[in-house]
Amino acid sequence: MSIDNALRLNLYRQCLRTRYLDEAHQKYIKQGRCQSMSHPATGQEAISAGITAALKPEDILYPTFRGLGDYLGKGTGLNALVAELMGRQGGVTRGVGGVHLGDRANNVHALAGCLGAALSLAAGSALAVKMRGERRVVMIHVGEGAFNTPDSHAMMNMAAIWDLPLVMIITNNQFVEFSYHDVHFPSKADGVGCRADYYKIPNQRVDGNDVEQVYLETRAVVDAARAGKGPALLEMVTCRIGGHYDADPLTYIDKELVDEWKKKDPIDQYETKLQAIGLADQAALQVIREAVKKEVDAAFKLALADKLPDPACLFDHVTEMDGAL
Amino acid sequence: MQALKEALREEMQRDDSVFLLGEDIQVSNLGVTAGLVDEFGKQRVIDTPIHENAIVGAAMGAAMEGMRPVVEIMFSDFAFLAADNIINQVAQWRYITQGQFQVPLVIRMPTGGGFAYGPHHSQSTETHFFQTPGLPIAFPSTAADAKGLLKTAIRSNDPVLFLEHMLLCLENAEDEIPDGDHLVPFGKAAIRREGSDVTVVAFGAMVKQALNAAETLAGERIGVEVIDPRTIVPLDTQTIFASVAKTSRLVIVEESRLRGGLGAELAAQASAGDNFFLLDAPIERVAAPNIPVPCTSVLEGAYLPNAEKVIAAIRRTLAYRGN
Repeated sequence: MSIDNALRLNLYRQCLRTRYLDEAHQKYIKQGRCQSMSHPATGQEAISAGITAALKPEDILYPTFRGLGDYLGKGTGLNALVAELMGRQGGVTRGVGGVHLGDRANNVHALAGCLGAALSLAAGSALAVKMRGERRVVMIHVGEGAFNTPDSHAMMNMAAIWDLPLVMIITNNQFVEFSYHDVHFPSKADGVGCRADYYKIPNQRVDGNDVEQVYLETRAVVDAARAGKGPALLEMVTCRIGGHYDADPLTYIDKELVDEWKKKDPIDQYETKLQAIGLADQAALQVIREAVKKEVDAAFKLALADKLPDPACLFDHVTEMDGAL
Repeated sequence: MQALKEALREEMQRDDSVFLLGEDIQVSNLGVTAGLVDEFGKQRVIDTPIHENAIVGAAMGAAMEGMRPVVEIMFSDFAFLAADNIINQVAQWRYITQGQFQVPLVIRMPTGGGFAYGPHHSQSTETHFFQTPGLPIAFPSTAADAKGLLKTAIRSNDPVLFLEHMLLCLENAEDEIPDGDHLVPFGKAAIRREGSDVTVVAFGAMVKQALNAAETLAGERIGVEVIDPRTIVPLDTQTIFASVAKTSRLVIVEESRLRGGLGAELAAQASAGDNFFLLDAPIERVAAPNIPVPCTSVLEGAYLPNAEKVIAAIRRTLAYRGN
């Protein structure tokens, strides 16, 4: 498996889109112009970019909550995504779903607020795909904190017993909400993906800050799952550079650790690589950065100018059945 | 029980996307799904690991990708283990995604007391889910309705919580089951007995208790109208209030607990707005007390609502003469 230059530039662009989107989202929240919540993926952008690049449009993704990049990578339009976060009529679900949005057209499922709830849902979708004999892959992306909820074992168990086309991406970013990894796990060295050993599900740790590695390793397990070789798990090792969400007090952060990881910033690293292989020089990278920034800014301006949803739609889509509200 | 099995079999024959999953449904503890594996195979009658939240979650995941799963929760008390997925995911997904994702999923739950099974295999849990938006709830009291409502539930694009009272599965075993495509709509109450003195609304297994009470009181020339809503959500208040307009007296009977129960909601609606003028006496509620379900039969019998308690409530409302 190899990566061509068009894909390289696309991976780079997707990382940038996620970063600039998260930055702008936080800015608008701080300015009081956006009422949603931001869970920025700062330092983890390579993961969303790499894993989604390994999927086909018909493949099904259960996104992570720190994962606007999951949506972007799967094909959700930036303008519709931003309008959704801004609670506007033009959003994917006119702001009803907000950060929980689902996008059927691009096969991205909605996000359960009780993180970890989606684990069993993903197993079920993979079961449906298998029962119908479709050559689609289901991917679930969760953090190591959500992977600590009991349904992770139910998911792995079902995936193993039923031999499902399910790819599990666990982003291990050192922090779980407002506390450090060791509050939640007995061993840092072992990671969390090895829990799949019991279920005989192939698993490995991947450098989550290396977007090409993320893509290549994910592509390999996605292709295997599509070929009927069953489930697999990848643990993406990275570090959350920002807080849990936009208003995180950050009092618990080990600054030394974060500073160490800042040196391994996935976007900086990739820029160095793109220059080293002669694909782009500093000026060319600057052109791409400016273009993406402009794209993100335009999406927010468009959303600001967009209509707010009509309160008359409050009762729409609760049930199909009449009188069952 | 046979009615439920017929509904499942017919819908599985009719639609390849219908499949069953749950704990030991191939053998089938209560017998509803017993034998279906011989006809449809292990691919469509799936025994799952014990993990209610994940069973419901997996069924939901499959439902969103074009399947029509029917989940069995072995006892409705166990539904609390799946409360997150039922309340937060299954019921709300259609709204959260503004109709992009449908969850055509039926959750069958054997429910109710009368077997001395104790605190965690006897409760009527419908009230706990009653407040959840986006979740139609069916509670049949006859074999014919059990078949007709289950078939409607399976064909619905909404998720449905389907209560099966275990006592009725036995008591109604000899009842006639309509052949073939017998469909009962949701939100349409059945008037089980007509009468002009008092309206009794009874849910699930309590319909039979209400009918027994009505039969007894008929000997005293008291006319009791018994209404079986058949579905809790949607609730056919139109039929109920039309009856109250005729009788001016209302008794509500449920096997779930009194506090915050179905009767509390219905009583509030029955005294709201113009309905306020329909009543000539205070509304009576007959329900289980707010205590856990005791194991031993004599205490469980004291806990459960029954015909005698319904008769007493009817007498109280008829005796009321106001100020």
